[in-house]
Amino acid sequence: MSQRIYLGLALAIGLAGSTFAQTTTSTATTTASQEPNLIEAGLKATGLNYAKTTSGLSYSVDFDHSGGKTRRVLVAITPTKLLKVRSHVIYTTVWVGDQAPSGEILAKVMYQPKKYGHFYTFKDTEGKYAVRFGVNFNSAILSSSPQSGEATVKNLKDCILFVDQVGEETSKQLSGQ
Amino acid sequence: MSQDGPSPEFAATLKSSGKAMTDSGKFYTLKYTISESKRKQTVYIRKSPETYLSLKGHEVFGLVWEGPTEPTAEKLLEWSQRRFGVGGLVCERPSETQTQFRVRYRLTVADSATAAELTEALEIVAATSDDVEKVLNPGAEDHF
Repeated sequence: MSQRIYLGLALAIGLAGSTFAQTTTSTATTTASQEPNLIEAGLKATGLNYAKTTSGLSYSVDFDHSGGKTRRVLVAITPTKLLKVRSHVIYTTVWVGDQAPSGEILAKVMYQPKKYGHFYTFKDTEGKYAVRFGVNFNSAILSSSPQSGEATVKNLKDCILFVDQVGEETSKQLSGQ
Repeated sequence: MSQDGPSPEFAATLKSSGKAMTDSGKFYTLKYTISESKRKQTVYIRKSPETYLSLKGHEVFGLVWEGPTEPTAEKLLEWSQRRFGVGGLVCERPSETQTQFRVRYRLTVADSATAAELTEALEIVAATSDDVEKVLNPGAEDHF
């Protein structure tokens, strides 16, 4: 037996599902103007120190690590809207370079799935490459006025902590430490 | 990070969703048909949730590519540059249980998800996996 998905739904999902960054941003901008965005209220309730990035596209959360290093985790302000899901990508950079990442680097991350999230390659407007690790957080699960101690606020905080942990571990692995 | 055993609560939610499914050991499998086309997509739900602090979620995925030889660096770069509103691609090497190099489109569903949330996630995976399969296997027959 099989479930039936209507083609219209499949196509709509497909457009969002296989989109590149530009289309995602376009879709999300429409969403932001129509619905309240709870991600900042949720972030505030986590108790983490955060700041809006200069681009205005994300909130950043910095974590101190051994050796005086700081890891920055970014939380996209604008969600991608897919059915009832409001998906914010929470990500960190694990590798950067002027050239595309080698097959060896890509194999290390693509064949090493984590419990949550995934790795992806990003090429910026100056032609520089970055390998990032990100997870999706659905802000639709947050209450209308998120408070510290709520389970969904803990989920948001733990998503951010998870990205920091995986980012730090992977960066060390890729740099041979 | 740790992994618990099968979650009876999640199984009960899946059952209450009314979805026809098959229990295949570590996974529940569900068959989807894309209406108005002849294409089909199998969706897999990992029974055991993955946990991290307060997070407890099940991997839900569809296969989108497979082959007998390791994908080239160019292919890995192309695939890794694909971005999704929800979920992403991961690669899998041959193992004791299967002989192919594979690519999955996957996302995670909370163990506490409602039947409606679970249904929505399954439909996202089914539709997106089928879309990605078409892109990664141009001109090929529907395989997954």
